[in-house]
Amino acid sequence: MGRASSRKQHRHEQSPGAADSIRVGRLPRVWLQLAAAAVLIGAAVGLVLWLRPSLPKVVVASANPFRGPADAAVVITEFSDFQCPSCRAVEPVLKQVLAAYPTQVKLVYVSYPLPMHQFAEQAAVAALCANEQGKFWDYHDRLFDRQPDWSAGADVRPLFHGYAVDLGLDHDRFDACVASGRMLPVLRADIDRGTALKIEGTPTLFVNEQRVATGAGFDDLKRLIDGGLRPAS
Amino acid sequence: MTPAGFFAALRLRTAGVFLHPATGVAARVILGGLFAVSGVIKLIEPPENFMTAIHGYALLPAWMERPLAETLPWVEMTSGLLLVTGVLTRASLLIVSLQLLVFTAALGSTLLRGISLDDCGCFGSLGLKESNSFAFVRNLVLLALAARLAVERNPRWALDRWLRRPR
Repeated sequence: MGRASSRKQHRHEQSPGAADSIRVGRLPRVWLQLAAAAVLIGAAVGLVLWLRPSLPKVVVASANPFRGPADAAVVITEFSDFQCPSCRAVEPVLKQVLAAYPTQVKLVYVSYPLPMHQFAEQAAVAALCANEQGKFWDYHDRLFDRQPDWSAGADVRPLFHGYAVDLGLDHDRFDACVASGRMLPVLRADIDRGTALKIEGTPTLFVNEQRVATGAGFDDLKRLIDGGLRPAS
Repeated sequence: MTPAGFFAALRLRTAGVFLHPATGVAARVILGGLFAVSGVIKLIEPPENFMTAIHGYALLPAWMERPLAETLPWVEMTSGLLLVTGVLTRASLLIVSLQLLVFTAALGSTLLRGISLDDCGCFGSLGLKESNSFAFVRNLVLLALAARLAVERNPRWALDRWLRRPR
């Protein structure tokens, strides 16, 4: 009895100390976990900053078709795909921008056909062949207007030929251009520019050097253009 | 063996594999690894690429797209990295699972609304072009892995286990 009560007393004396040792012992372990997390996150942030490439400036060829004055203060570069519905949807916005800034904005078109769009490359080549005859923008507008027609077809060549005829192009020259494949290197250069800029989707717009995400509306572009027109202080 | 017995044995075997510690380690590496890699890939690209993917879901107001595109990849990378290494495992699993639930719901909503995504925004420019339905099913599998990890109190091959051991 005496021994039992002394054991109980001993346990009673031990328990507060034991609880303290648990409390004191657990705290540093949580801190250890937090410190490990901080080290890991720090290393990952360092890795990301190290891997992040510095993107090249937006450069286009002088031969790239453009709308607006050649020496405009603000240049919008559009990387676009004729078969992409979002590119079709952005066309009215770009026309609205050009109408609002007739002397201050130049719009440059760069072809960036996405591999997932079966006829996008053929469409880009056809537009470049129309460009050879000074009718790029007419052909561009026609391709976007009729996008649902030719995107769903099996063979786009007769349709593209038909558009060339409708727009008054020299269709023999147009057909020869398309068949020769001489626009492919021009197209490849456009695609390479887009790839160097890490373009993933279309349309990707740049207002001067500022990249604009898909879905930007007139107000977003206006804000960037106004920023570009403001004299640097 | 009767059919009932066969299925009972199969259920036991499946539960055994599901609860095996090695399955836990594999689930943590797969789930955490996918999140970490997908976060890093998005972070080394211009945020506008991910903004474009977010825009494709047509779920959020335009003003939210940039802040989300600039912050979510950091959360993905951090939570994935902590999960794969097993640091603050419960907390990182919770954050990964919440993200996964939101992504799966968003993908499910595109399927219901008949939206075909050019890019689900899952892995940045890794070159994986998945359909919405494939990404949705893949996420369900990943949710199953998350559920497997949720039942584990003290995961193996986790730094937590080593940091918490008695000294």
